[in-house]
Amino acid sequence: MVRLAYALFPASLLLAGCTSFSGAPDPVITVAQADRMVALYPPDAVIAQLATYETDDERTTFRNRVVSAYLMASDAKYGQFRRDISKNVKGGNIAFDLATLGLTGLASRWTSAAKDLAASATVLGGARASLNRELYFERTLPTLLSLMDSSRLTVRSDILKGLSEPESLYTMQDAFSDLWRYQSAASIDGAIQQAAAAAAEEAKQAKLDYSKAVALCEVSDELGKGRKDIMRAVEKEARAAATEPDAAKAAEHRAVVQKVAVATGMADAEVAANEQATNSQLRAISDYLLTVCSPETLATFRSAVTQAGAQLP
Amino acid sequence: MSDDLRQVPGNSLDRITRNVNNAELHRRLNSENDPERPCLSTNGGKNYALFETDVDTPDTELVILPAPAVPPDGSTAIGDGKLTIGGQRIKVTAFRLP
Repeated sequence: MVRLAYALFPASLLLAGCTSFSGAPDPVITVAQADRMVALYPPDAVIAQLATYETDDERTTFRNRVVSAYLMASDAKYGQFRRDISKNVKGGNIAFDLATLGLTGLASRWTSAAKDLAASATVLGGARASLNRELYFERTLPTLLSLMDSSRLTVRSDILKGLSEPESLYTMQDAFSDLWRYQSAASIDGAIQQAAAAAAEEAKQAKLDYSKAVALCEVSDELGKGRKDIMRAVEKEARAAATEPDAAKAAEHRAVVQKVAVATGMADAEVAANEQATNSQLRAISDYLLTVCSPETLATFRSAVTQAGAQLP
Repeated sequence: MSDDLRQVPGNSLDRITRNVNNAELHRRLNSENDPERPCLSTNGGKNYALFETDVDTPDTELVILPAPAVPPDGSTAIGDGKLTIGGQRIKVTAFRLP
């Protein structure tokens, strides 16, 4: 138990040391300062005070002052929210990484506590995985934050457009409603919904059906060259059939293609009567060749192609 | 002519390039460069190549490079796409070598 405590000591130092890690400078306007500004303008008091102004200009000026304060408070809190997320993810990962490295490194040198150290390293590794799973946005975080930024900007532009109108056209109540939308736009849940909707739209627009795609096999360069040699030889026969003016000789070339097609398992292949039928046999041969992934299979097929009359290099 | 979409194995650009080259049998990598039907694409972490079929096997090789890429001497661009390499999605361009 004592040895375990020794083992965890350096890790705890690392973890503690990283709690102040931050990926952004401290804000000029703090959340507390912004809160104090907003505290001057509780919504019900604002509505009441607005009613005391006689001209639209006075109401517009007051509305803009109030909305600016709320925008600043909302921005300050959003900034704090972003910094907290960033700090938690980056700091958490680095702390856990360093702690894990520290523990496993020590384990190799400090043999008396090796087992305890290795055990605690495993625990920390698992803890980080758990943390990331819970937060689930180490990789998607930047995307979610971008979506939140985008949503906030959209609402903000609505608000700024409203502020250019007199209060009679963009009332204080309208502004409060938009301010509510503005703060609601900074939501992980909302961003995930947006991302899911975008992904669904992307999938809908996709023109490729991945579900029907057949996987290629990996082959050596030598086997790849062997397959191409066969394919080119058969294509050469097909071209010769298409350009040969003598019908009998053209039929001989087509017969070569047909025999190779039969060797692929295309049992019902007959000597092609036209170019279209030859192309169909060429396609079958090429599809078959893509499934030839071993030298032995290629050698057997190569033998059949030679017997069919194709000239192989 | 028609299309043939194939899943391409390989966890590096070199291996994917080799596998696409070896698959150009009476087909060649699609050169339409249509963003909705890219010649190289990724889905669910797997990589795919779109081939034009019923065309003679190309006499030359192709190479796939991370975008933006300097075209190899004498090459012609086939098309752009995205691939997942080592868990990262990267933009790529395929070139036909002379």
